[in-house]
Amino acid sequence: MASLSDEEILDAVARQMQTDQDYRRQLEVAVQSKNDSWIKRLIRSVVGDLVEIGRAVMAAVTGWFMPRQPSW
Amino acid sequence: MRYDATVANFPYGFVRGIGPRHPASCGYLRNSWRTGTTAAVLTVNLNERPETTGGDRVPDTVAALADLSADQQRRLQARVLAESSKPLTIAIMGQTGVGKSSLLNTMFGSRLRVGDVRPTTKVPEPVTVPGSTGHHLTVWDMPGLGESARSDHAYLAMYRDKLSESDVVLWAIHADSRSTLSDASALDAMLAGSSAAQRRALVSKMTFILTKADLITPPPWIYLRDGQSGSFAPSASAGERITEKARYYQEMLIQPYGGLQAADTYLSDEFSIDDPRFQVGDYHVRYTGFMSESQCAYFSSAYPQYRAVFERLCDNHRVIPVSALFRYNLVQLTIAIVNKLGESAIGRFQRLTNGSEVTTAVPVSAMRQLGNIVIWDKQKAAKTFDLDDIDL
Repeated sequence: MASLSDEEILDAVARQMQTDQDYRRQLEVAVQSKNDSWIKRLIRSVVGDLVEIGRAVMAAVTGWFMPRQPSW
Repeated sequence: MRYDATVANFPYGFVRGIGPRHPASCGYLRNSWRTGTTAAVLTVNLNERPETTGGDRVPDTVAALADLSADQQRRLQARVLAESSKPLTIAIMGQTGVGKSSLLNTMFGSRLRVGDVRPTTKVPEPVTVPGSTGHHLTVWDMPGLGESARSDHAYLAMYRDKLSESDVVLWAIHADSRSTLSDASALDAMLAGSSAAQRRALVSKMTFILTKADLITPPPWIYLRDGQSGSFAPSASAGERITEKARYYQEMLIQPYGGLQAADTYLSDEFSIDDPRFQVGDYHVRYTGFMSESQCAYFSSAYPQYRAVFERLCDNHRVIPVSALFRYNLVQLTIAIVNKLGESAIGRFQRLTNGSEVTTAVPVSAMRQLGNIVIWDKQKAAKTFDLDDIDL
């Protein structure tokens, strides 16, 4: 078995480090997005329609309207 | 201006002062939360650019949280705690002796018993062990396949039940094996006895792994030393052999069930394709079917702006070569697991792994134990090689 040249070693190591780094970056975003999705679903299940009712009451009492409805 | 909110045992803080009236003013969000016994911290600093990947979606969530009443916050916190306090459940199966327990121990810091010469598990046993963060991992320690045809048949119904209860299913195959017959037959038999919905759910949650990739030799592995620690990388020829093996098992075990599969991945940007196979959610996309490499290439060419998404979906269907000994490819395996976790399991997963930290570091002292060849020269009547003697 031929031994590896310095260049081959450095290439292999760089490739692995890049792969790990790419996947690590993906992992951070994947975990965060799963969490956001999960927490939104929980909020929706806890709050239900109460937020909409609350907004309507607030709007009626104070005349204050929110400029943006949350997407969920 | 900086707002700090700390809520113990809760993965999100409630941010005061930033309500839905001012979502655009959340210029900067840094979510450095930790779960478990450590308090969650969410820090918002105005007047800076967003650092969190994913653009505006986190401010949306923060705005939503800030809008909750105290009672709703309490109820939400209780729901989060209840869900995230359950153990994460993993079923791991495969031939006996493929290194299932070693892999879980390496990934989650658990202490499952390893190294038994004889297979001893006759019924699926839930083994609950604390992970490295103290949160619990429940592993369905499945009887190994391949002990005998009779036992394999008897185990199938058990497998089906336990796999459907699990958050994650890992199917381990020995990297140094060439036989797919036993695994393919077991998979076939298990799916044949399930309903269509069960089959789809089961196949979609499975991740196939090639264990003990470190045995793919003689092409060498390289240890990149940095002080008293280091990490392993396969040489180019070892990497090629590993990739070839993984591709072969993908063809034999994953591709045939393409119609039953779905691939999921996160979205950090806008994604829109007029194709019924893609279902787009708030932060994720699901592709129904098998995303082959040629399919990936086709979509990437048609929609180059979404190339990264197609590649991640394609990754969902890969067989992942790993080595517990070398801590090789554990990050890739972890993201495959996260992609397949249902939403309700992510809190448990994160408590177990303490975020997205996956280490690939192998201490020099551990690496030195891996060389097991000692050369005794008969003619010289002396030991001429021993890794332990080499001064590193």
